[in-house]
Amino acid sequence: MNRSCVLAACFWLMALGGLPAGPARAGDDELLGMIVELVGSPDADMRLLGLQQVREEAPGKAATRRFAALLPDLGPAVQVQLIDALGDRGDDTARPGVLAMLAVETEAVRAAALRALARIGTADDGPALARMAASGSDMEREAARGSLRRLRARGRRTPWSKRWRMRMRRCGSS
Amino acid sequence: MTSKAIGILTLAAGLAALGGVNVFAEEGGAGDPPALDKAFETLQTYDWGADRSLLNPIDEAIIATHGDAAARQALEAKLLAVVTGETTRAAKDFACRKLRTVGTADSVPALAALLPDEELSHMARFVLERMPGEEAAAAMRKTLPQVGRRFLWVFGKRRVTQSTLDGDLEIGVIGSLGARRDAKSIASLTVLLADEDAGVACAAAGSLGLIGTPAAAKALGDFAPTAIESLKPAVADACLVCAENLLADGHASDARALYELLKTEDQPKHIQVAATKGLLAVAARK
Repeated sequence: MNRSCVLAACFWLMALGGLPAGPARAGDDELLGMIVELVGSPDADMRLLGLQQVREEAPGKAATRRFAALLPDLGPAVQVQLIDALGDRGDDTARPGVLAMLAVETEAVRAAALRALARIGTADDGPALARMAASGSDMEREAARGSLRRLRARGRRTPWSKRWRMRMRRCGSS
Repeated sequence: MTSKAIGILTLAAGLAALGGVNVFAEEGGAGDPPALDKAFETLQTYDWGADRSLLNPIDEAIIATHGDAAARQALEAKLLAVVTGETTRAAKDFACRKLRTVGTADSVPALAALLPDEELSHMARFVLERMPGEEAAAAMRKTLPQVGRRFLWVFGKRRVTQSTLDGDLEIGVIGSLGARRDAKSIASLTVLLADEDAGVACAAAGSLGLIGTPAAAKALGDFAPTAIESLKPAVADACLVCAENLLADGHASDARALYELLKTEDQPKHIQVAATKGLLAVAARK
């Protein structure tokens, strides 16, 4: 292993060490609690404020997991809004929760989940999306086709992090 | 080319460069003195609609005197003479605009004297609002009601003098003190919250919000529950601005107290939403 590989390994260790691992601070817990309360609020204005926070604030995978865990307990209209917000958040930690929403009764919720997969889905979701694009309702077909288009566009470029890991592997084998 | 020739050429180039510097040095300082004098002469009778380019030497002198304190002082004195002299309103307006760039504490007394002037108060504040140093704020503060010292409380009510300005002029000064975030005005502004002129009370609330210190927050927080209905929107708005400033300055607990005050059911929905957003910002800042 040459020196650049060692340096690269050090960089990754430092970068991973610096990443926020979750809500370690008291303020984060309070913030998450407030957002959760707002998302479940019966007041539409307050709920929208909470959903905006889901989209833009409280970074970290633990926060995303907590938001996604709200989905089963919400009414269909709010489920649609939260799924859209989780899609905009773009953290694939929400993917299992969103995939579970593909099995619910309400068509609008299923369509929202299909839409969200465009941003948080992976290539593994391709077959399910293709199936819905072919056999779903009008709303589902449209959502699934849109997600398939975006997933395909995303697949054209390998993310830099993956390219870096591939390079690391090559360095290790030489 | 011999080395001697190169040396001569280098020397010549150096002398030429120094000569050029010298020319600029002469041009610097007061700009073009005869043209400047003529411009000030023109300014005495200048009015809106007249040829503005005749005053350009004054602008050029401001640029040329940058970094030259003595020249700037001379220029400031000339501009002050216009402000205090028997000149047109347009001339005084022009001089005030230039004083905003070159004005120092020396200009404060002359500008403060314009504050009660209905036509020129605004231009005086235009200069004082941005002028660095305590003198400018003190001059504006002096026009507000003065709150008596603590020992006077022994005899009952605090002694509060009247404002020296009326109506819109007072509102203007209140706004300028807020824009300066002048913490020494808090006591006077707190008195003005209860002013019978709603415009003055609204302006006082707004300025306390802009000042945004814990003391200003306390004044607003104490006043908010007792504010009359017509003042409530302005007070709520001021509380939001104050809380934002507190949070930006690191006083999270004071900001939280104000946001909590605004989150109550008796506030309009948009204020409740804004306060909730503020509380989220406080939690995120922790």
